[in-house]
Amino acid sequence: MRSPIASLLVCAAACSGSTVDRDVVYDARFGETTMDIYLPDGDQPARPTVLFVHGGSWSGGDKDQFFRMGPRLADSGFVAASINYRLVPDGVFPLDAMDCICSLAFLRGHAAEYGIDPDRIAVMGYSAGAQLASLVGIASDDPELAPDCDAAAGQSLALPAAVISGSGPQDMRAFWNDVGPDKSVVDSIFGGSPSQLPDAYDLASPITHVRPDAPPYLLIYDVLDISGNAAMRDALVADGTDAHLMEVAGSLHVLEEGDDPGEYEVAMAIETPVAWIAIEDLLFRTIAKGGT
Amino acid sequence: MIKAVAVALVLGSGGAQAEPEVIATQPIAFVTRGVEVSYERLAAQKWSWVAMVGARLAAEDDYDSSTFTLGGELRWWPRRRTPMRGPYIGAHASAGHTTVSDEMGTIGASLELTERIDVGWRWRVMRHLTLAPSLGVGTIEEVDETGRLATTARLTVAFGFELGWWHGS
Repeated sequence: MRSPIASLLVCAAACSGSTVDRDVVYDARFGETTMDIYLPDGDQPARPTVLFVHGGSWSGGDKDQFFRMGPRLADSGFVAASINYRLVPDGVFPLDAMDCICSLAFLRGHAAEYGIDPDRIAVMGYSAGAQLASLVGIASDDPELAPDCDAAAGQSLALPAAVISGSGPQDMRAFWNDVGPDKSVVDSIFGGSPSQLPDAYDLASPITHVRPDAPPYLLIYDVLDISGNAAMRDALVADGTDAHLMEVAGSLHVLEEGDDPGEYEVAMAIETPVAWIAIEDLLFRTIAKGGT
Repeated sequence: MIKAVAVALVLGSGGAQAEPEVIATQPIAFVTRGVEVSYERLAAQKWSWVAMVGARLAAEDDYDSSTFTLGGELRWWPRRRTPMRGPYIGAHASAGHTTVSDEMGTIGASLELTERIDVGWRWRVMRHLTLAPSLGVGTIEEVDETGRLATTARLTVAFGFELGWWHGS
């Protein structure tokens, strides 16, 4: 086994066989709607794929958030695409969700070009991106969320094949109540409060879309327990969906404990060793059932 | 070379009665379903070694997990008159093994190998109590034991806070 330092030095020169196509435009109308596509080595025609949606309170963040997970999945035989999407104030809901669905349509439409199996795409998001990924996962075919981008035109917006939601709200109405006295962050996502915009809050809440044909779900959350993950798991399971919930003890959303107990580093809960194992289990039970 | 190091360690640890020893823990681990205990003693002038062991149950709800960690650290204390106190630089290495299970049984396991350079500061308070925050930079290599996920190495910046019990002079 190569030492970590040696691995990094080797990686700095030419890490593994995977490559990345940066800033691929999936909707040319906007500057933000781009994605980085991590491609595995080889020219296998139809690979399982993971679509990443970054977090950042709907007003910040960047597709680089998955700079560690993307290459690892690509090195493991997956195509991994990490998207940017319109942020508040330009991306007031449902525009942000529509961008995410558009990106899914783009990947399906360019499946041959990138070696993607369009029926084996999972979505994964973190924090705000987890709400969006979960919404895409369960409501990408909702007419009220249908994007009008070129990539989506005339295409089926069938649900993705699996969902991994990391530390994101599943019920935006509960989230509005939970955030404390300053509601401006949540209000800015919608342009108003739940009492002013009840339909928008319902539409944005993955838990309101639960249905029997939902794809398998893995819900990971941290000690902050952002609104509705256990309820979402319960609702999915009640409808017969393969849904699992993992709390990562000690996770502080962006500060994580590794295998050295008590020592913290800046990372996402979905990057912890226990989360990686659960993610691997879900991916290889669903989109990579026969291998990558 | 090895013989010289061994001799230095033996000479350095001579007169063991008066030499300081520290048994410490990372108290934050207690609130994150974990525990870490370390033992440190002077190895030579300005040098100490640390052996550490840890365990953690990180996953909850539909999953269970167990992580067991073994590690060691070699610390250099620049202050001649107060060994094992004040600033230090440490070379840290540890290996952690994690297993995760769900209702069907074990779903996977991984190995994390950490190599890090730590910079810290130890205060001795109330005669026996020690406090030592640290900041480290290094690499973590993650190995998936099923082989389905690629081994990955990444940079890490980690911080810790050690609470210890000082024994000796």
